[in-house]
Amino acid sequence: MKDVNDEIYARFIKIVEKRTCYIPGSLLEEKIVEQIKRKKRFNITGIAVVAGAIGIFTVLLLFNSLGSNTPTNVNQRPLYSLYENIQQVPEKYEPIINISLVSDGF
Amino acid sequence: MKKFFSVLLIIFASIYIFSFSYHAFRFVIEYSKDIQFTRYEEVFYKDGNKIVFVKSPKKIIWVKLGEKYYMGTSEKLKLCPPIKDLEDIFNDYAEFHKISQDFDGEITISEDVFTIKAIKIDGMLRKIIRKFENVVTEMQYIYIPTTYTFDEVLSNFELIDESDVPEKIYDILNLFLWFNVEYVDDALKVYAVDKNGEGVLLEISDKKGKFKVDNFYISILEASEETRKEIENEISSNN
Repeated sequence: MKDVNDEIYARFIKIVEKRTCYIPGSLLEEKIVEQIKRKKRFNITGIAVVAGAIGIFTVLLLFNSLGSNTPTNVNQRPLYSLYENIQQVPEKYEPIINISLVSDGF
Repeated sequence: MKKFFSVLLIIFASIYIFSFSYHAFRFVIEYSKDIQFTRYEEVFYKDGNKIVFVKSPKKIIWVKLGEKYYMGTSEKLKLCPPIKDLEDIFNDYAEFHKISQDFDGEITISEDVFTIKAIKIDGMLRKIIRKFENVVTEMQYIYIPTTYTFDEVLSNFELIDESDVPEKIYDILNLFLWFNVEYVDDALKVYAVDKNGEGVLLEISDKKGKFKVDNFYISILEASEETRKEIENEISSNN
């Protein structure tokens, strides 16, 4: 039984050696446990950071698209005389829009 | 008889000599820190009259003939309220300040809320620049010789003395320095700058609004107290 355990232990050490480059010593098991914990911690932090970034990006995108559909307050809008208004509008409004396009003021 | 013909010759010669015309392409660029708009147009000018082919952002033709203005998108042009480009605005302010148009170099006129500068080389306008807060509007000229005369170009159009724009609405817009419009929720939002440089927001609708002007309704959504009163006075004087 001891031989089997030794064999498994030896194989395990080999795998760990390959993955961690640690030379087996008296504190090997503690080191492995610590490493695994660190790896796990890093993974959780990494996932949290990526998820957070995606979340913020989505929220910003959502607010941006909502903002573009909302009529702007006159004080928030730069006051241009040459605003490129090429919207499709009912015919009744077209002359007023055309004047605003070709006129630079009064 | 000889005297009569001499006088007639002198009159014709002086008309010919003092007649002023040009054909030019004009680029109007309006920009601030983070946004830019452009307009591109071809102009036939003769003695204060103009035929302007706006090519971008939308094909529109407008004509100034004496005190009358016509506008359209085909060969049929309908009567419309006065249209002023940067050149007309500069000329108006130069005239108001009694500044001679006969200059070479640059002249800047400073008003309370904006400045307007014109640059002339060899007696021809090359650039007009208006600055309001952080918004700059610039008109650049490129003069090109043409084989067409003003009258030949004008003969391609049918001028109709009937307007699509209610004159009463124009009188209200005329209270501002300039304006632009946006079609939102089945109504026109008019964003304007009043004579004191303050922002104004009006809504023109054919369904609802505070004041009825011709076939439209007008609501004043934002304006300084002074401008609000001016608009209301204009509406009540119109009705």
